[in-house]
Amino acid sequence: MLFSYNWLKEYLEGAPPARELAERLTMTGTEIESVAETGGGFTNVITAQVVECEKHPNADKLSLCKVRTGKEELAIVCGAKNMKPGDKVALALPGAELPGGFKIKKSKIRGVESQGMMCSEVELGLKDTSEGIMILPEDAPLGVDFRTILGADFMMEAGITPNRADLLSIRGMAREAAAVTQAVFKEKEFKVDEAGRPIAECATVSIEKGAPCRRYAARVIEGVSIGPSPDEIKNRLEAHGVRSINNVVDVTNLVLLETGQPLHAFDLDKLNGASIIVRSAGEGETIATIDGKTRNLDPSTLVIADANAPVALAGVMGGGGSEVTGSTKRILIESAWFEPSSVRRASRKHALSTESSYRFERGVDIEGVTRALDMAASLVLKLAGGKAAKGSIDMYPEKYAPAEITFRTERAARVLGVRVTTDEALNILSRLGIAGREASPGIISAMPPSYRMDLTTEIDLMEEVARIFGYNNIPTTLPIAAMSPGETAMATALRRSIRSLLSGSGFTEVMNYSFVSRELFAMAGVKAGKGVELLNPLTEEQAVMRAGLIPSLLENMARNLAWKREDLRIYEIAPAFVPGEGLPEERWKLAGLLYGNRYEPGWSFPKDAVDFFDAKGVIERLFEGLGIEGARFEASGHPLLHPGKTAAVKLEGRHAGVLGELHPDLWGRYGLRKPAYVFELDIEPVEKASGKGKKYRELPRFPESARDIAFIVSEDVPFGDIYEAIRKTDLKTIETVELFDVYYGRNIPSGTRSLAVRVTYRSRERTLTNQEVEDTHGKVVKTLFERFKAEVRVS
Amino acid sequence: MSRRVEDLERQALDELSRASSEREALREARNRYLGRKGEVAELLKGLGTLSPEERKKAGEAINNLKTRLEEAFDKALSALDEGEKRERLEKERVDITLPGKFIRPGKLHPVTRITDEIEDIFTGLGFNIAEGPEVELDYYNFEALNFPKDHPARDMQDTFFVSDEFVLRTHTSPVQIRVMEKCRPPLRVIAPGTVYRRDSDLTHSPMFHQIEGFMVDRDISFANLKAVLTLFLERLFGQTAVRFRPSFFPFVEPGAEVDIRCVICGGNGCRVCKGTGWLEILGAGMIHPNVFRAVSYDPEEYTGFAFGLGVERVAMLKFGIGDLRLLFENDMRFLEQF
Repeated sequence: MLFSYNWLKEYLEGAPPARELAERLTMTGTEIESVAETGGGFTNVITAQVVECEKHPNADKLSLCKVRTGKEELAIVCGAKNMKPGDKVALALPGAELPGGFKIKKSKIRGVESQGMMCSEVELGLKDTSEGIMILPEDAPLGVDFRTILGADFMMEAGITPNRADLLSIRGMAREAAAVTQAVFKEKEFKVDEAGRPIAECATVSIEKGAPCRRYAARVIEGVSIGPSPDEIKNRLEAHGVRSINNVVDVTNLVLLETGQPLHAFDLDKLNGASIIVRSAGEGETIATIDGKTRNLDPSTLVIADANAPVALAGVMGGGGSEVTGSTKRILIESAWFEPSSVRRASRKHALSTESSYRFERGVDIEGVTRALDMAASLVLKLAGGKAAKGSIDMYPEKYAPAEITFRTERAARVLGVRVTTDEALNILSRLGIAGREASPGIISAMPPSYRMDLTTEIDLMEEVARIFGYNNIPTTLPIAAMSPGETAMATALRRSIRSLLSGSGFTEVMNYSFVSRELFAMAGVKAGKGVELLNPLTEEQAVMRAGLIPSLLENMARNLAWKREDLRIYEIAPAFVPGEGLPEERWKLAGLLYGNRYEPGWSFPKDAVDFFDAKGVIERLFEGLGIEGARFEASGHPLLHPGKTAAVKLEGRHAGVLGELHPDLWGRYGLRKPAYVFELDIEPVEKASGKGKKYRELPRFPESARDIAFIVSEDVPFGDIYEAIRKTDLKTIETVELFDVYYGRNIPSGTRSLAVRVTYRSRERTLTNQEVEDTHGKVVKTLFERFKAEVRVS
Repeated sequence: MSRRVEDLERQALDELSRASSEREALREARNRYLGRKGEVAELLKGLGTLSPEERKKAGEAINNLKTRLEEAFDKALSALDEGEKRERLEKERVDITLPGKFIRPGKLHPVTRITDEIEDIFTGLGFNIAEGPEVELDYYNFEALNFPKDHPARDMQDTFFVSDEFVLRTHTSPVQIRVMEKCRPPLRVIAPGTVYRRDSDLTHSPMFHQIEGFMVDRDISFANLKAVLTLFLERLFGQTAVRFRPSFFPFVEPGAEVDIRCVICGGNGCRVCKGTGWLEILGAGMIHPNVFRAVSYDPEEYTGFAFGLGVERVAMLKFGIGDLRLLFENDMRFLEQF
């Protein structure tokens, strides 16, 4: 909320300087986000009076004026035409500095010396536009610093938390300022001169039974003349972000700002039956609000109606048909109290948030309703004339009854960690307008004022005591707790291990939004309409929670390629969202992408591009690092991937993910010139498989014996099968089987390939004899021939 | 005889000095003099013709000559070896200013780095790490946290809705409720995670990260909250002034905002701290009795504090990142800096 320090001071005696007050308010919970000095953006500008004006001898469009400051007479050259002898003006003397760093010097203009400058409002930074120079009121004193006339002010921007509705006004803020400083709050008095006929002859008010309106007060003023407000009111409203409309509407807005009580003025002659009925809207009713929109109503919305139809959305906005216009003669001013939740629902339903609804939603002071009404009526009488009807209407069936709250000093000491004595607490409460008494030793019985609707329980009072006592006066005491280790969730620990292993493999972590476009969502291979969609996305690009991470990584690749980053190894760990019975299921996934050179371009690394087996190797190395054994890779398919270069990853017989080469059909979409490889694993099976813990395996004590075999075999035979078959020839003595060459081409018949493996033989019990090794190796060769029709070239 | 010995020595040394730079010639010469059938051996053969006394003297002289020649030839040969080695090593010289070769390790996202750092500080204080879902029930995200329906406090957090009941969580605070529903005090927990708010501009991202923390036991006080958070902020930012300001969050009371001295200007006032010299870094407070009631804890028996902070904000301050959006653009030129 924006508020003027000068306005605040109207309610305060002994207010501290603006910046000190701001600091004090901030440290007691009313955050002052900014303090802007206004009307002081210039120096050395004084008030002066024009004595005579003549045409400049050498220029048609300029005048030469004599101006008196009270001390001396000065000659001023001026381009404006709107001044005449006798006018008071703001005169910038040589040495003056105006907004924008503009400095005034004595200077010759067309051969005539000008000893200063008469300023316009624009030049003084007071307005955005102005015509001619600024003419001051006739009673302005001569030769004084213009800033004192202008009343230099500070505009403060306060962040008001939703619990402190009582601070949404000048008066409320002043009350708070008095509570947190040495200043004294002083009330303003308003008397309404009730010179008119009895109000009962002018209008009637009724509240429908059960309507969320606990108080409705009104006054009538007849014979008003609508016109513009005086500048002083216009300026004040404008400074607080409110547009000036006319004197009556301005008064309602001014009183709203000053007291926090929203008001509405109706043109009484436009209210059918001169009656106000507070009721729920009827089904099918409509209202044209003053913002020019026609709104369809239903019974969930509370309206103010006349005898025929709704004339205002209660607490939100008035209707166009009954608004005060230039021809209005008789007005009815409404000051009411509507239930916060009712106003909030109406405001949300009609997407209409106003100064009025904002305050009602948070709760206005039900006891302040008539004070604001009287203030408004007295101001209208002053500015628009007319006669106030005798008496006022005040429908207030159920009076406000303050609740007593018990405050235990012992309990407060436990919660705050500091002992505040009963006397100190009573003193703090009374500064806040909370009536308290010591009911029994250490027990205070307290009654908050009607404007502090946020104070309903003991903890609320403790906060009040603590914040005025000062948070920074509460000691810092480390808690005493039984020792226990801080435990990292399994998932957190696993994710950390994965990140560290992938860093080692050269992968950089990315983070993408969880919500994606429908198109990207569909790319994850999930049927449209099967996702977790947002009801109110910010954009269509962020419409649905992603079901897989690969599409996001592909987007990252495309953007980085556009930034000329051609070699990529990136990964992301995040949940994928799948609709479920209740809340969506959140399946954590790890996805990675490889593109470009295997090694970063350097002066001696080979410049070959990554292939399928780099991607597979990343996963194998990850599994090794996590202590996962027995992962299986099976030929598989995936809509985004090359049908011949896709593998499903299986852990303990369960599907755990997929890896493969991006389908060539998608190269164009991402502007690729080389194949890209992606993988995506489900974290859950990885977590299950990795929980085994590492165990030491005894180092071998007997020598090994290695034999190489090279053989030609059909391309259709997967190496995985050959590997398994060799291992199984003799699980006891065959220690490792390593593939060290794959060769296609010259001397190898088409449809076949040459493979070379090294088989290492070793027993854990004794040294194998040469004959034993030869025998087993012979079986291996035989197996290769018999099972796979392998033609052994060297063995 | 001794003359022959002297002549032979002179002759051999002459030849050695002539051949000293050629390995083959040296070997040949050595062989010629010191080989089995070499000149020295010949001399020894001639000893038979001498008298026993002469033989002894001459034998000694010849043996001495042999030793001297062997030393001389060996020295010349090893000098040659040494020279060749030097030459070879010289040829092997590399330009040590060429860049080193290494496989570049990948980098962690700055948000992960900060999250890890904060987790480590708190696990060091005995806090456990907990997690909760990102699509959350309205009940956990708001109602159980003392945000009634139709309450303006809900406006503090613009919410993405999945349905009437389900929202994208707007803070990590619902994890408080989920943990307290399952476990009894004493509790020390932090809950890092992704959160969402319907807001996107220079300083707001619709998705960001928070770390929630709370401690509940029989006598946890606001003074304890101040101590734990001050300790934490000093670990995270180094020695820094910390101040606590009253503020409002529905699920805590008394509520506080916690500021640190601006890390950019040191408190003199700058653009980052909007001239105040302070940076708001944490929201905190004593857990509201209504929150305890929602999880069936007796608020008379237990008290506790809770706090929350935005990870991106800490990352931006610690790494000096000026633009929030960089954190989600995934530009490698940015990510590789961390």
